[in-house]
Amino acid sequence: MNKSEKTEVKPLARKVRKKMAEPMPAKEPTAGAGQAQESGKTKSLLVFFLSCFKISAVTFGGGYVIVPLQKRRFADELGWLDEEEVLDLVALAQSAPGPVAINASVLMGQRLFGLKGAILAVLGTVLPPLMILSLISLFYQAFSANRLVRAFLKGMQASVAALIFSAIWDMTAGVLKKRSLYQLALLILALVLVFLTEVNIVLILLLCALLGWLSLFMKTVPTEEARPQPTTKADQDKNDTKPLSSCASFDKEER
Amino acid sequence: MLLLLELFWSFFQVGLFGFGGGYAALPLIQNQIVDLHHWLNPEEFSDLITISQMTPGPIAINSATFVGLRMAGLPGALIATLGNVLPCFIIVLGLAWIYKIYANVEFMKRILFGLRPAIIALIASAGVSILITALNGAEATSLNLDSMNLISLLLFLLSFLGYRLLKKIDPTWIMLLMGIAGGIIFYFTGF
Repeated sequence: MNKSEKTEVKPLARKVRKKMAEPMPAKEPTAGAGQAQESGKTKSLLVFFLSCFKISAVTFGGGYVIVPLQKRRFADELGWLDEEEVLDLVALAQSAPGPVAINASVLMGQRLFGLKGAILAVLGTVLPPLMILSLISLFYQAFSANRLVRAFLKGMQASVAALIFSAIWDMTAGVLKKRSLYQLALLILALVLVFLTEVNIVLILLLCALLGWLSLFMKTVPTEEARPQPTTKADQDKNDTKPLSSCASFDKEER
Repeated sequence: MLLLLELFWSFFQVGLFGFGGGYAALPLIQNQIVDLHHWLNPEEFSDLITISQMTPGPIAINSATFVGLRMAGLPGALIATLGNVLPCFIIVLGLAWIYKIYANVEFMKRILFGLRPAIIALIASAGVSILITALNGAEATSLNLDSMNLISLLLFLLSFLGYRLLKKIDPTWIMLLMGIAGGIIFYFTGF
């Protein structure tokens, strides 16, 4: 990068950073949003925090179950985001590591209230399980040796194993549906590495991530259903900047 | 103090590499807390997942709370959770920033495209070891047909069928039902 470009990039980065820290202008609530709209930013922060808290407290088992609840609360009831935005944010949340529940609420918090919102989102989403599980952990320490409790937990073991295999089945079906030989080959490679070698988990992940990224340079590998390759530059640009929401999915293929 | 750092770092790694949602964090958690640090034995790990399935919260957060609390009390739970959440927080906001500038995170889609098969394989590995614990006991390291607990096997197959065929029902109910049934049997016949 030559000197003049560099000086241009720096202020841009700073401007963008500032933009990220400040919240988006509050949207007009959609007509008939149901509830009386709160006024004032501070009150809304509290409402946001409490919403995250409540949503997190009622979603059992984890996974993607939380997403429709978030959509219903922030898009339908409060009208703070529209559905397209929620889908976009969920797609982004799925692209990052970590639980979707946390990522999605962080993104919504950031979109609505800037960095403050992101932090409150984490607190709101993490506190309920933190508190509930702390309580249960204490009980566990006390009662895990109890024969009745042990029998019950033992009965669950096989069932939990079955649950995981059921999830694997769904995920594998998802991969097969995409009809990508490349991904199938990666699956076989991964299975070999995991079951037949002692290769470190992180290395396997890094390798597959790299191989996945390399597919960017192979024109015949689709990430979704096969579609005709763009023939003009205009088409290509269109493909590159399509909204994220096209890859958001509410599939419960994993919980 | 060292323990707190270890907790933080362990769960930081879980948070950092846990792409793909759902059970993706499971093999990472198992690797850290059972294989590497021996904070839980396979039996307790199984219990943890069971509990996590029945309570609010993602498996990663629940694991952090559970293990942190047991190893170092409330500070442990908080530190472990913080360690878990920090990388996700930073990365997800980073991705949002990238998306804002470039209006596209195609590279992420490709990375996830490659990661998906790896995650499936890793979850399969965790699933197999949990199954081994269920069928052959906590000390077993491989499937042993002779000393297999047949009741557990039956529960496993019935549960699996239940999840596949009764998709409309929340799997947690099926799990509970099987657990109670199994629990009653085990209580009276020994295990």
